[in-house]
Parts: sequence; C-alpha cells; structure tokens
Amino acid sequence: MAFIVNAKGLSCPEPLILAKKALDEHEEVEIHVDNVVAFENIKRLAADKGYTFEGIEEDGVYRILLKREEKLLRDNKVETIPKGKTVIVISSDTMGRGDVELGRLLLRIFIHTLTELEKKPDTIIMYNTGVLLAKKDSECLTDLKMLENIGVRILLCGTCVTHLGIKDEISVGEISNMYVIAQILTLAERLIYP
Amino acid sequence: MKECNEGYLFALFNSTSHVLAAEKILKNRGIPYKLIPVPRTLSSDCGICIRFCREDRQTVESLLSERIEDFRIDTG
Repeated sequence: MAFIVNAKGLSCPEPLILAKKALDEHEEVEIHVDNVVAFENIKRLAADKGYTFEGIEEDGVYRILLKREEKLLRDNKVETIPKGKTVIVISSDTMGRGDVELGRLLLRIFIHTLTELEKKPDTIIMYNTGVLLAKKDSECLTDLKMLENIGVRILLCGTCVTHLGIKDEISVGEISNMYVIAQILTLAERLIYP
Repeated sequence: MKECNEGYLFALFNSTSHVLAAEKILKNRGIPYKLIPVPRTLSSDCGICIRFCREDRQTVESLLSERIEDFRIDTG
C-alpha cells in the first residue's frame, strides 16, 4: 500500500519537500497535487533519485505514484539495475588469508593492476573490511578513483561502513545497500573474489 | 602520485619484507612512489617493486642504502 500525501493547494517547493520526506520513510508514495509545476518537479525528483514515476491527471488533480528502488527490487523488476558483466568482490582488506601484511600488499597491487588491464571490471563491490580500501588514507585511493573515473562502478556496503565507523572518511565509490549488492551479485556473469 | 617529469625508475628487492621496509622509508620522507607488480620487462626474485620519479633517484638511492642491503634500481 502506498503512503498517501495530500499536497493539493500547496505550491512549490512544498509538494516536493513532502514527497522527499515521505519517500525517506516509505517505499511507495502516492502524492496528490493540483498544479503542473509541482507535477513536473516531482517527475524530475523521481528521475534524479531513480524512483519509478506514474502520474495521472483527473479534473485538475494529479495523482503521482512513486516507488523506491528497494521496492522495485523486491517486486523483481530488476531490469532497472544495470547488468554487471564482470564483478570484483573485495570482501576483506587482504588478498587471500594467512599473512595479513602480505595480504594487504597483494590487494594493493591487485587494485593497481586492474588500472592497467585492457578489460576493466564493470563493478567493484566492497564489503566487510574491504570497505577500508575506500578510506581517504587508503593506499588504493588513487587507483580506485582512476577506475571510477573511467566508468567502473564502485559500491560500498553501507552497513559495513557504518559498523566500522568510517562513513566520514569514505573518499571513493557510492555507499550502497544489500538489495543492490545482492542483485548485482546474482546477475553478474563473472564474479571475481581476489 | 604527482606527475614525474622525467619518467619513472623502479627499485627491485629480494623479498617482500624489503619492499615493505623500503616503502616505510619513502613514505616517512614524503617521497612520491607507488608499489606495482614488477614490469614484465624486468626480472626479480620478488614480484613487487617500487616505482618512483626519475628525478628522485639520488634521494631514493641514498635513503634505501642506509637501511636495505640488497636492492637495485632499474630503468624499466
């Protein structure tokens, strides 16, 4: 059931603010407005944030249905998530287990070497202590930024970032969530765990 | 890493622990460097080397000589 917001009689930016607020708390929001400017603004908000947008007009009242990405994913409308062909999973801050110092070194070199490969990965997903690589003092930062600049999508597990208390120190990649991460992992053609 | 006007040089070591020791030295002195896999054109007992700016050669060489017995610098 969509959460209903009545924004009739309100002019911008109020309908927009109400829509944003409602979407923060609800996955599915139906908003009613009575002017075309508000309608267009909410349409733009939906496009910017990646919400689905359905709008109908009846007797001067616009009814707009917005759905958040997580809701979409659960509804199995997965086509909105780009299919990652090659996904590299950084599941810790070491490459391999055993000698930690060696493992950290290997991972740095691995990330650096990715920048030199002809065929770059489509997505890099980092979770658990893997997210430490995205910190501002990370030795991998330059290489990761370079990869991001040429179009490699870097996703960080938000739960992990919060758990490790490094949210303010993240300098590369986008903080993501398990819906998106699980979806990309299951859709990947090649999953690489260095 | 800053742009190296004169290109790169490579410091090669006999073991990974020497690479790490060398890295520590350069890091403490603020010398720009990068750990990379040893270029295929070079050969070494260890697969990881330190790439640095050609213009820093003298500084790097003398700093490393103080602490590390066996290393060589290659032009790649």
